[in-house]
Amino acid sequence: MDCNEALALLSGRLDGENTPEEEARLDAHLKTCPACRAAWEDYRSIGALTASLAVEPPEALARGVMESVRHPRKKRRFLFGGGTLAAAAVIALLAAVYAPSRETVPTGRSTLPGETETAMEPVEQQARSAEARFEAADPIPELVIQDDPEAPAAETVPAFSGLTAVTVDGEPCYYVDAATARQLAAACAAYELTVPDGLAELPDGAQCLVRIVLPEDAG
Amino acid sequence: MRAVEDALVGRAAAGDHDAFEALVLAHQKQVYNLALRMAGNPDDALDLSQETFLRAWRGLPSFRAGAAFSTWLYRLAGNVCIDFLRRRRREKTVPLYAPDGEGGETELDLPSPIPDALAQALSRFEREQVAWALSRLEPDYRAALTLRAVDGLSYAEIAEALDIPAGTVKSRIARAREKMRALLQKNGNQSDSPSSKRAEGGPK
Repeated sequence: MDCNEALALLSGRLDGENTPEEEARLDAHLKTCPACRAAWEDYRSIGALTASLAVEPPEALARGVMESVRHPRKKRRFLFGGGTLAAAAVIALLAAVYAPSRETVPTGRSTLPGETETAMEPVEQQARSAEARFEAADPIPELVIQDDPEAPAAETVPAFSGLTAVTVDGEPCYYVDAATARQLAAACAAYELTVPDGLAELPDGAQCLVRIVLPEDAG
Repeated sequence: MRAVEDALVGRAAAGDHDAFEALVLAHQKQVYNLALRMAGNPDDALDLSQETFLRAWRGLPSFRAGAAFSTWLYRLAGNVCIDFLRRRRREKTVPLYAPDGEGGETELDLPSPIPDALAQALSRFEREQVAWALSRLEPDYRAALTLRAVDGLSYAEIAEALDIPAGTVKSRIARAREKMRALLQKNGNQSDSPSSKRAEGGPK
């Protein structure tokens, strides 16, 4: 047995997870190896110190969980993280824009439950309008779904790299790529929100335009 | 014990708040300590723990009766923590790298905690050192070792919770311990410690 194997078995010995045969071979090695005997002493003290890191959870843990369980928030909203748009918002699919192939992708729009649609131009026209007004903006790194603006983040939809802020008629909108659109659709479904038409079916390479409907807008 | 828990799980899955609260109270310490070691601070640990239990509450109706609730819960907790670490890594804006003068980059050694007073109790200092070394392990290794050495799970339970073979649990924990020991030894001999890439993460 070499010292590397012995170190692995020392770890197993500390946890009581070695076989009797492994224990016997380890003992034989330790008899002849002062370095591994020293390592054993280190492992024991490090192990005891590691175990002593265990702390009691704060009382707020169970209280907060049970508060959320007993009084679930009825209305779920989408929030943008990062503080730039720190207002509750819902996602409405405005219109699709064109894929590189210029192939038409599913269009349509819908708002989510509890929100009121605001008057908008026909979707095709709106899409062209959006393209014309495209402004490069900092990508928003992620979309946070929260039950409540004041509550800590409940869940984060990962990898919203394909999200680009644009302005349409002075209102914030976002181009999302197909992968992001699917994540958004999955997020809507997970939170039992109506999935905007076409969101999950966006072809690869295409983008669609989503609008963030702020509660004030939705009235 | 298991029968009691199974009964609680059944009631909680049917929407019984009190039964779920009993499950939370029974498992919160292990979940919290895992989250604390993975996140590295109490605020995030609290958020991650609560997120874990809320996901458990939402997922309970589809929980497979007969499976161990605890390992299912630890798996949820592990996923929540790993997601958090990925997200945090993406958001990190200050690189932990410095130019090495040869066109490359050298990783900066993060400072180990320095005792705020010389009179500080040695045991507390040692605990901080160990906590620091643990925090330097790669997340997969840290999770395995925390579940074992802090939370007291068996290798079989860890295998189930992390969804890896039992043999992998054993080698991962062994490598994690070797790494921790090496970090602590290096830290104890700061004068001759070279800035070393080996200090980052866990063994591959």
